[in-house]
Amino acid sequence: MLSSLFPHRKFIRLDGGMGSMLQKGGMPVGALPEVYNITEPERIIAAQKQFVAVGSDIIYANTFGANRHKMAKSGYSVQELISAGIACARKACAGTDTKVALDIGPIGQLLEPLGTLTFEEAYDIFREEVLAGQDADLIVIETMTDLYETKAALLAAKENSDKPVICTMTFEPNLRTFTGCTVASAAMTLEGLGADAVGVNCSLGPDELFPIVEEMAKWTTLPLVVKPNAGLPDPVTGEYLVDPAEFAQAVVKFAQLGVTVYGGCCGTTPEHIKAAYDLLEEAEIPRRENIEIPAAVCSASEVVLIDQPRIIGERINPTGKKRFKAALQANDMDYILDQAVQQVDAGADLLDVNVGMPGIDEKGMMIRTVKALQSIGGTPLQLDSTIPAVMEAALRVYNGKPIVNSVNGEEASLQNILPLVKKYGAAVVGLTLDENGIPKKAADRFAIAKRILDRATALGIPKRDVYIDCLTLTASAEQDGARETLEALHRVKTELGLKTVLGVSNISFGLPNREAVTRTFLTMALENGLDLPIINPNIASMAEAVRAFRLLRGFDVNCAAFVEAYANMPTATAAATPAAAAKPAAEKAPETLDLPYAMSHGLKNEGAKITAQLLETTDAMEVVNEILIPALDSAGKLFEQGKIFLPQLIQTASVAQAAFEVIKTTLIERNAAPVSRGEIVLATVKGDIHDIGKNIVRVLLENYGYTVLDLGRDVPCQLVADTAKEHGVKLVGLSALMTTTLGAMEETIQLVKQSCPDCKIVVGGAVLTADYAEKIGADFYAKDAMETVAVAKEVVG
Amino acid sequence: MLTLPLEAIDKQEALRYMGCPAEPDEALRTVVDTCEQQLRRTVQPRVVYRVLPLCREAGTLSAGGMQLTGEDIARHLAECDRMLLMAATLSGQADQLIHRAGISDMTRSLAMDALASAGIEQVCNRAEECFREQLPDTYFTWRFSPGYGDLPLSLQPEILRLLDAEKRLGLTVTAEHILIPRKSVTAIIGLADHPLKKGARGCATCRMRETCMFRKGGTHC
Repeated sequence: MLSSLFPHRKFIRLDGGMGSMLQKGGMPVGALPEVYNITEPERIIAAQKQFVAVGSDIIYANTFGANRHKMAKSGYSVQELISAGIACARKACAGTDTKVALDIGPIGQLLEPLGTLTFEEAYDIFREEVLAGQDADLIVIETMTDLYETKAALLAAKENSDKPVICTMTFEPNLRTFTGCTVASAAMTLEGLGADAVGVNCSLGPDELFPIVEEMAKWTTLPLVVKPNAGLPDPVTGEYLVDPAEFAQAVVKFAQLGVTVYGGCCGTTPEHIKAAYDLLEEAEIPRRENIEIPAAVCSASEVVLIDQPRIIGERINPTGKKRFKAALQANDMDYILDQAVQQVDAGADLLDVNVGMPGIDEKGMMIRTVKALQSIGGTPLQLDSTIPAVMEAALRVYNGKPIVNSVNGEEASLQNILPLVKKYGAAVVGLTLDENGIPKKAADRFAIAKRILDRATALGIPKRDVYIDCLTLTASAEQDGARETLEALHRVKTELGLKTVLGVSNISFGLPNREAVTRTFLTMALENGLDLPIINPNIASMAEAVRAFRLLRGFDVNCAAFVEAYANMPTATAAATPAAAAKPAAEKAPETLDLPYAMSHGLKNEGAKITAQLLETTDAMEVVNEILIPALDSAGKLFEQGKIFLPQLIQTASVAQAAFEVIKTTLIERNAAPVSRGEIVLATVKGDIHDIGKNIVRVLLENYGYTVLDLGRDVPCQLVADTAKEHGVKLVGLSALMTTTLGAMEETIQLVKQSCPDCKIVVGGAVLTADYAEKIGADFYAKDAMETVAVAKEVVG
Repeated sequence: MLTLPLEAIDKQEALRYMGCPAEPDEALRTVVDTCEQQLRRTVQPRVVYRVLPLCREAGTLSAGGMQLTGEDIARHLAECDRMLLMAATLSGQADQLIHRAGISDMTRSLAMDALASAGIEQVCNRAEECFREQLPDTYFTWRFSPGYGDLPLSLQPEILRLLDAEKRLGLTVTAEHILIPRKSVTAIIGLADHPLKKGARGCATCRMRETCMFRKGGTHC
């Protein structure tokens, strides 16, 4: 689409650095350049005319920062600034064929999870810019360092205009952006979302950008864009040091990579640009044809190549799991995140995410879960829902290229799901079933696989992004099923050349010693060409089978990954004695290693194990009241006396937390609801994002048997009041760490007092004192977590 | 821009931030050690800076168009004719590590947070060594940051703009003047061609003096 704007062009000429030109013209550093579109348009036009004069095909309108966040104090609306910006560029281009691009830069505020701006708000800010820039010929999204923000901008551009969109991001020499986004993730994700050209701009000079563009060329079939700075700036003066001739010499080297869109960023003058155009005119630019893009999915920071078996962790799924269902009902995100962390630590390369169960808002839950998972790390996700609206919501907020689980051969499924896969640039799992159910014979499943592939490719979904699941049937019910599944899998892999995925755990349902059957079937499937086993990696033998297979098949070069995973594994004889990690336990003979000892020594795993053993013979409430609480009390006393310190107190609390998790799970499995001493609302107030102190308080309160409704950080004042009222709580705890957020604390207190006059409020945080707490209307001031527990005992009981 | 490695972190300092002045037990020592390794493997500290002339007009002090209000910064820069404005960050990866550590283990989260705090301080010290190499024959004051004494935190957006820190570091500031990524520092160092008297440093000019946990414990940070 970009090339249709410029037919018969060998390469497309972008302009050079506007900011530095304006600063040379006397604009002070720190001024808002976009305001000049209105106050001093002639300056903007004059600068742009110089680029038009040297032959630029595209002029970026002076709208880079024209978003409502950055322009809040400018005195002008986004519409005014962008209209004026495009008008300036039009005047500069008058009488030529030069096109005008709406230039969209970063918002200037970090998006969630690092920052507080939501994805949806970012989309809305970009949407406003896109709508204001309708007079432009195309849209440029540039200087981006956050893939999530880039996605918001690109979606806003695609959904609110039909203009071509160029996306360039800013990378560091380590081939990542500031936020950790890899070159491959950027290329894959942005191409998937429908960008018309991708590339790099700013931050580095042409020499330093070369390896970055070289890497990008491997990951996209789109036209490549390069817009480097004039070298690196002098650290003291800020001057760019590469002269036009040197710049051109360096830029022309990109021709060998097949780059077809060229310009300059900071410090590049019309002379730099002209020199580069001239050399490029002489250069040979090979066409980028028949590029083999590897099969892969990604988050912003992690790319998972499907070039060998990769484990998809199956545990984030409520099916058949009472504890998980209870967590979903209670909106207990920490439980879900813990499931993720455990699986990744156990070897999962990808995580399946299914939060569907009757009676909950699956769409809302899916959005919260995907965002929460993105806040703790980069493991790419497989989004799993049977409801298209839930799937689309998940695809929207996912940062990277996910897998959609799943489409099948039914017409309705093909029609509903495949367009979503295409629009959001995902990979997709195709289940070999249709209106008639799961075919018995391999040949029929193969035929459905073929049909799914044809429909996907007809929509423009690349073949490499279609993964086929030939479906596992329970061996105890249908013994021939395993053979048919494996045969279908083998044919899909060899005859269609597609990647394969398979949930294997079902195979052993209803049999004793399930693990042996499942593991053996897994190995057979791997040998038949399975790429993506969906398993529970927390079962050691399952992850072991995959790792061993990778080793034996030569994927694991020098056995490095296998050795790393198992080097510290105790040998059979050593396993009888406590492992190295649990050294302190060895000081005490195993028979006397009890729960209080585990708690005071921070032995989490031992604590959980002992609790499980205790529950076989002892009532849960007895364990809590006779063992856990007294041990916590004595740790609390030692802490108050200064005999132990905060980290030891927290270690004790962490073991207690692990013990409670065992108790909770056991009670839920026995259909007995855990007994709570009462609900308490906790929040870090609006505007404040410090949450470690609040989290410590939460863990301790939970240890003492209270149910904590943790609203998180940066919590709107009204939400605290509403939650307190809705749940009828007796106590609200508020935390603030900044003098600038004490106002929000005071406002929250007032709102809570209005909506629930009987509710007490306890406050804490570094900047607070008992006097100040009283002044802003709090009922209690707690100097640390133990004092908060004392307040809870007094108020809630 | 300086890209500095995160050198070995002073774990004793980190333990102090954690509220643990005494010798840690084996379990805590292990947590701190593994967190330190993980943090150093993951983060990419970066620093940007600029030297700006100081402008004194009609009783006001400014640099690069930024008004430096309050008595404390005026006293800090009294003998200087220019200043070095800097911003440093451990990057968002540090925030993510702290957050992730808290999912399954608060101790790890606390340790990671304290290590990152100690780490960014070390990065600033290391950066200052580089500045001294870059600016020979120049005398430096100590680093003064918004929030010290009566220098308002509301200066943060202006400082980031002057340093183009959003673009060059990926550093931003919220409406409440909190820097994000969290483990970041902005600071002003006064510069002069002549030796400087040692200015008051410590609790006297600190905003936290009334509530500081170190002072409550009879020590200082």
